Order: sequence, then structure tokens, then C-alpha cells
Amino acid sequence: MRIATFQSSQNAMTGIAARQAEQDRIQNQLSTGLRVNAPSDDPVAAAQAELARSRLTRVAQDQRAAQLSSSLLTSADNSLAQGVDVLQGMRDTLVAAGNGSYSPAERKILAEQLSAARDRLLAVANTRDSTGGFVFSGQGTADSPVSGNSLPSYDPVAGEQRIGADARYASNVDGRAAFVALPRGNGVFVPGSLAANTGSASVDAGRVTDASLLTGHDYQITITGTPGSLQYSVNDLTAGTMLSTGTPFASGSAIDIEGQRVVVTGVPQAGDQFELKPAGQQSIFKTVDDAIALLQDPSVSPSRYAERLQAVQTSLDGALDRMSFLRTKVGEELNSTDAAFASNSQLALQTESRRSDLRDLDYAGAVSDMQVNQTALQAALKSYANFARLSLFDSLN
Amino acid sequence: MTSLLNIGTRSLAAAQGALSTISHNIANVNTPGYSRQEAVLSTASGQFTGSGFFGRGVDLTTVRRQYDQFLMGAVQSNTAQASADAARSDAMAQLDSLFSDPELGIGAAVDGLFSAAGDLGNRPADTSVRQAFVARADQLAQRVTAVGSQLSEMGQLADLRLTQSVAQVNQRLTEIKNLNNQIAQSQTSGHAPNDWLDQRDVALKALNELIGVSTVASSDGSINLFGANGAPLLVGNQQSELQAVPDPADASRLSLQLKVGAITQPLDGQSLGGGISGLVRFRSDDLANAMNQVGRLAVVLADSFNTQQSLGVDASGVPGRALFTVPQPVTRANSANSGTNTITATVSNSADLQPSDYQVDWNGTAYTITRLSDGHTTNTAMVPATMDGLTFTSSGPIASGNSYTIQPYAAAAKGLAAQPLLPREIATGYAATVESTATNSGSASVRQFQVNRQTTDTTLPVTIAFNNPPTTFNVTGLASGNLTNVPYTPGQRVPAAPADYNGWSLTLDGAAAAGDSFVVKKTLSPANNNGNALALGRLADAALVDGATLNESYATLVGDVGIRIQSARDSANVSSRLLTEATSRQQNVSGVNLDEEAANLLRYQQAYQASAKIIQASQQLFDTLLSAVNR
Repeated sequence: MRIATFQSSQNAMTGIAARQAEQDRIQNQLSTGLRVNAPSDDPVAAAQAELARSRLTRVAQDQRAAQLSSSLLTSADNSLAQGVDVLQGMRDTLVAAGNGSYSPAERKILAEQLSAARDRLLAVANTRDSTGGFVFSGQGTADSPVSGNSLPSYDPVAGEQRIGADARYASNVDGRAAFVALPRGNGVFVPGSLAANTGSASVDAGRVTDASLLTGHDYQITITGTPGSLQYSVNDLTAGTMLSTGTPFASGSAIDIEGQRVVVTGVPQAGDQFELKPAGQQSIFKTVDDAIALLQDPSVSPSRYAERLQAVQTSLDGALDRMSFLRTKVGEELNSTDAAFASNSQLALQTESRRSDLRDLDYAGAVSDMQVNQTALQAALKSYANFARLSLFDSLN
Repeated sequence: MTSLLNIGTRSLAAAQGALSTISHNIANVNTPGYSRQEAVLSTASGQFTGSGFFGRGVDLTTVRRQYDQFLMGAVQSNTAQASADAARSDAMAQLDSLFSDPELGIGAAVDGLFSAAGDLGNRPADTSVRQAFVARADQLAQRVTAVGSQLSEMGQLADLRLTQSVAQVNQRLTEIKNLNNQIAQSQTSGHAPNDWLDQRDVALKALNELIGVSTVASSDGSINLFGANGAPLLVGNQQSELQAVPDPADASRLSLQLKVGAITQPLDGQSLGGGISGLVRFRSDDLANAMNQVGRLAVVLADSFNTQQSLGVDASGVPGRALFTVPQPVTRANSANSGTNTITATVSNSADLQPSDYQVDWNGTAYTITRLSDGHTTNTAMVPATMDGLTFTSSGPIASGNSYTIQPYAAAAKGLAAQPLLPREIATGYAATVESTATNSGSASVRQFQVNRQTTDTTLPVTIAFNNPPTTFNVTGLASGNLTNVPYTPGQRVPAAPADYNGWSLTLDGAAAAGDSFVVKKTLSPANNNGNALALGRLADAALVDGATLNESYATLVGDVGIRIQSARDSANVSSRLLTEATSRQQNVSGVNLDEEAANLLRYQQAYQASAKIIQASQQLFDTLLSAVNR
């Protein structure tokens, strides 16, 4: 076969140029550390790597939300702990107020203590969080969430704000649940003696014995008979029916009315009446105000004082329970936020490694490729140099 | 005796001719397109005498080039293919770099905006976060338009190169015409004008690099040239003119036409072959596809963010203003249209958009809407008609036979812009908020409250109150009237999609107690509400672009561009290898081999010396004779 001299050198140069281009490509890969430097290097990997990159930023954003939530919930937990402390202090004050030997002046000092504690509680309710917002801001507020001094009310829309991609992190606590919408008394019904009573009997805070029997009606206990053989009757005011009559009364023994149990202690007079009303809800500030008013009022009879003090204490206990419950809840949220943070970190790691698999260079492979190619390039150059030097003209003279 | 001298002289002349041919070959060893020449020798016919036929030596009949028409034909056609592939592949390389850095891509900018939306959700009241969101939106718009403008520039550059190529084609045609004439004239001498023939082959190859041609030889040695589909480029002395003129269907770009005499005929650039077809394919297919995908992303982006803005309220409690502006679809009327009425397209459902241009034709009884990317057509008797999320309308009666090209995205890719919104104008909140009533005793809670559409029915508050037993609830306060005994399924959207209450819906979950209620009421502090900010963030995972998220759509674009570049490069490699092989085969026949020439040089040098010896011998014979006579 004839070989054209020009074409043979052209072909050799084409081969060498291709080797050099390959060398350049590997060199570029080695210097960037990337196998995929442009979409055309591996279109599928480039597209997948793009998605992985996007997922990484998304996870990073979610981590920011989780971190923020974690920080906000930690400050919420602190605030709730303070709230529990304040309520605990109030409770101690109320227990002290139960001391029958205290003079009105001494009770007034207790009232002052309560009043100071009330201010502290209000401050807790309006605590700012680490980002300048409010811990108890509900579904968003620009101003202090619990406002008004005479009887603070909760202004924002109640609930809690959630953040993050699926709104799965809590960022605050519902102030209404913490301070305002609190169960009054035992949470179901509130017993009380009527102001017109002449005897010295008082009724306790009551408790629920059988929740299935509860009706939500108003009831009235009326003392009848004569001293020594007192009896009582129970009237369902809402339904307008007499439930029982002529039951013998004994001080300190339980009176059961449709799942509710109250204990009347002391010496009532015939005609004295005790009411059981559905509890409803009450702000903690109203409860404290009631307590202060009670302590400041020297005219209250000892039996009524005991009864009202107990009612206030029960309400305060409810508030304390609620705040402890919210603390638990915040703790749970913190746990789940921390868990999400950890699993996000894991996810970020996996995504990063997937992205790396997709586009990063296998150095060992690339270096070996480079050496193979280099050898081939060298061989091509040398063989061409030797071959091109051969010519018949050299032999002519 | 004279014959001896004659033979010697003839032989000398033949050897000299052969030697000069060899020198010519050696001299042209590196000339592209040169075909090796060879002196053709033949024995001069013998002279009859009584003693028989005496040879009269050698004749140099002609100089022939070593040439194989079929091998040359393969080189020519492979040149056209290789040039077409190389032109496309070279042009596509620019695209590669446009999408190569992931951190500087549109995808990263989209993520940036979604990150800012996430921050808005975290801290809606923070002005700096709102400002960052506006800035990120601006950055994204700039990123998109930077890509769009670069794509558009590449298109203009391709058009410029098209104009240059067209001029070169016409030059080459003239060159071949002139060579044809010279060749035809010298053909009458009976000898082939080898070097002119080679020159014409070179010119033809150069022409094939620009446009694929087929040749038909005529008896006088000239060749006629035809383009794709038999378009006559050069027939005899009649040379046609290739022209690049504004496309009748779309004046914003060039199309090709052939002027034959006084008649012009349009040419399909992609089927022409040669570099021109590679360029046209790059511009009309690859580039247009990338442009449409970027443009669609811009349209969907603008539409979805603007819609979400409008569903929320800004810090002042009014519905959010548009965040992005994006140019409307562009209509290009065919230059042959009559009348001034036109067809326009508007985006009616951004989720259905397809990355393609459209052509609308009216034949007097039906509109044909053609999706140009795949040729899918829809016929409709009247407009407005909707196809692929676009609504086509006419401004008035259209003349029969009119045709319009609709480019929904080309302008959008270059013209996406973020509005300079004030930080407080970002709609982070919803106008309404759902609140559970304080006395609720069940564990039912609202999982998700979202605004689905803008409506004028915004009566508030709306109360959802559970009945006894709590398997149903009543809804009061709705603009459309109260609802009673709506069945309650925990965890299901209320109302079931796609219905809504006053434009919003919510998901209730958990066990409700009789008498529990939820109240949808006016948001008291819109600046602090993060309902719409979370919804803006949720757009990241929403199937906004024909079933894909914005990021998936961009990743698809990157993959698509990559595949196109890869396949263009692969076919360029294949066709260039084929060209190399065809050229090698052709050169193995026609190329100069120096060793061969050296051997021939030696051979004819010896022949020359031998011929000289014949003359010397003849001289000596003559001298011998003379001395015999001169006594």
C-alpha cells in the first residue's frame, strides 16, 4: 500500500494532538479535583449533583430553623422555670396566709408579697426571647403579649408559631395557655357559700369522683332542720329538679352530687346555702388579684376566709400544673428539634457524600490514567520522530 | 543512423519530462489537495522496413494525475458532515461553560431565594431578613437574565457567522465557476489541466465545509453544483446566490434563501449540510431549547412568587405586591400576513408550560397551533384557545392564510426583573389566623392553615364548631353562607381539595370534643405572622414546572444541555474520524510519497544518462562513418 508522506505526518499529528488533549483533560480534572467540570463531562451526574447541591442548601436552611428553634425554646424553658418559681413563691405565701393566727396587718404584708410576685409574673409573661421577640407571643405580636395592669389580658392570637420547612419546629409558647386560659378551682366546678349565710360552715374546693356523671349544671345545697339534727337538700338549678331532700348533715363528711364531691365543715345554720357552679377559666392574674383582695379585707369571717383561700389555692395549683405541663411540652419540642437537627446533620453528610460520589475525582484512577496516557504520548512522539527521519533521499548522493 | 539520434533525443526528452513531473511532485509534497502527477510514456510505433519493424523509441503522451473520483467524492461528502458536526460542537462548547459552575448557576440563586424565604419564616418581623429576601430575589433575576442574555448573544453571534458563511459560499461558487471555464477551455487541447482540477477540488472541499453540495460533471470537464434537495447552486454558467435574510416567520433571526436568476426560494438551513447547517441547528434547536427552558423557569418563578405574594399580606396588612416582573410572550407575524390583527398568547397556567415556541396558522376555518419543539398540533375552530398553559387570543378577525410565531419565553429569559420592594412590602403573613377556642377540651388541633387563592370573600371571623357527637361540625361566618353538619375526618383537609372556605383551607387533626371550636380571625400583627413566609418556602418543594420543582427543572436543563453537548461532541468525533479515514484512503492514491519519488528520480536520472549515451553512440557512429569516407 502506498502511504502519502504528507498524510502520514498529518495522521501522526492528529494522534498526538488527541493524546495531548486527553492529557490536558486529566490535568484539568486533577487540578480542580472534580471529575465533572462541565455538564457535558457527565450530564446525568451533573444534573444529580445540581439537585444534591440544592438539597444541601435546603438542609442547611432547615438546620438554621432548628438551631433558632432550639435557642428560642431554651429561653422559653427558662421563662417557664421562672414562672414556676414565682407561682411556687405565691403558693408558699398563700399557705402562710392560712395561718389563722395572723393579724390583718400581717396578712397585708403577705398581700404586698403577692403583689410583688404578681409583677414578677407579668414580667415573665412579657419576657423577650433571644431574637428580640416575645417568648409568649402566640401566633405573632409586635407588642408585649400580656398587657394591661389592672387585669392583664392576652392580646395576640393564641397558639404558637412554627418555623422550618415543614413548620415542624416550635419557636414560642402559647401565652394564653400559660397565663390566661387557666382552669378555675378544681377545673370542673367551683363550690362556694352564699354571702347571706349566717352559720360558720365553709365548703372545700371539691373534687370530681366520677367524670362520666358530670352534667355542667348549677347545683345548690340547702341546709334544713334544727341545730343538732341538721339536714340538707340538693337542688339542680339548671334542670329545676330536686335531687335529694332530708339527708342528715354531718360536718366534714362528703356530699356527692352527680360525680362531684364537696365537703362542708363547720356549723351551718338552717337556711344556709352552698352553690356548685361550672368552673370556667380564669387568668392567673385574676386569681392573684382575688388572693390579694382576700388578704387585704379584714372583714371576712374566718370560715369564709378559709373557704376563699382554699379556692384561690386550688386555682393557683391549677396554674402551677399548667406551667409545669408547658415546660414538659417545651422539653419535648426541644428533644424533637434536637433529634431533627441530628438527623439533618446525618442527611447533610449523606447528601454531601452522594454529591462527592457524583462529581469528585477518583485521584488514584486519574493519576493512573494520566500515566498510561503519558506513556502512550511519549511512544507516539518517539515513533513519529524516528519514522519521519527515514527517507530514501538520505541514501542518495 | 538518424533514427538512433531520434530515439536518443526522444528518450532524453521523455526522461526530462518525467524528471520534471517528479520534481513537481516533490515540490508539492505538502500542498493540500495536490494529486500526484505522472508522465505517461508509450512506445512510439515502429517503422516498417524490408527487415521488419524498427522501434522509434518512446513518446511522452501526457501528464496524468493519480486520482480516484469516488475516493474524492467520499472526502467531499465526509467534509460536509464533519464540518456540520464540528460547527455545532464548537458552538455548543460555549453553552457548556455557561452551565458549568454549580455555585454560580440559576439553581444556586433559586436556593438563595428559598433560604431567604426560610429566614423570613424564622424571623418575619426582622427588617434585615426582609431586606435580604428582596436582595436575593434581585440576585436571582439577574442570574437568570445573565444566562438569558448570554444565550441570546450566542444566537446573534451564530447569525453573524451565518452571514459570513453565506458570503464565503458565494465566493467559492464564483471561484469554481471560473475554474470550470478555464478547465473547459484547456480541455480542448486534449490534455487534462491537472493543477486546475486539483484547485477546483480544493475549492469544492472548502465549499463543502460551508454547505453540502453534490456535483454532476458535464462533458466539457466543468461540474454543476447542487445543494440539498437539488437546489441549483451552479449550473453551467448560471450561478445562484445564497442569501441570509430576516426569517419571514420571525424577523428577529436570519433564514437562508437561494436566488436563482430572478426567483428566490427559501432553504431549510438545517438540511443544507456543512458548517452552515451545524450553525443553524445550534441556533434554532440547541440554543432555542436552552433559551426556552430558562425562559420558562423565569415565567414560572415570577408567576409562583407573585401569586404567593398576593395570597399573603405585608407588614401593613395589605396583599403583597408582585415580586417579579416578566415580559409577556412575543408574537412575530409572518411577513406574508395581511391585515393588522394579530394573535397573542398569555400565560394562563404556569404549571403546564412547555419549553417551546408555537406557531399559529389560520386557514379560514380552523386555527392550527403547532408546538414547534416536537411538531405536536392542535386544531381549534376559534380562539381564545388554550394549549400547554398558554391562552391564545386574536385581536380581531384574522385574514385566511396568516401565520404567527409565538415566542413565550425568549423575552422572559432576558427580561425577568425583581421589583424594588420595601422590606415591609414582603407578604410574610396571612390576613387571617386560626385560633383554637380557649375552652376546647378535645385534643383536636389545626395542623396547617393556608390561603389557596385570592378572593373578595374575606368575611371574618369564621367559626368551625363541633357538634355533639363531634363527628360533624358547623361552619359559620362564610361569605357563601353557613354550613351545617360537615363530616369530620381527622387529618383531612377542610374543605376537601380543591374547594376552599373564603379562599383558605386548613387541616384539622385529633379527637375533637363536642362544643370545641376553631375561629379564623383577622391577623392582629401581620408583620409578625409567618404563615405566608412558610408558604413561600414551601414553593421550593412544589411541583411548579410541569410536575417538577424549580430546582429539578434547572437540573433537567443542565442535564439536557450536557447531553446535547456530549452527543454533538461525539458525532463530531465520529464524523471527523470518518473524514480522516476517507482522506487517508484518497491520499494513499493521490498523495505524494517522497521515497517513491526518490526512487523514480533515480530511475529517470539513469534513463536520462542512458539516453545521452545513445546520442553519444550515434555521434561516434557518425564520426566512424565520416572518417571511413574521408580518406
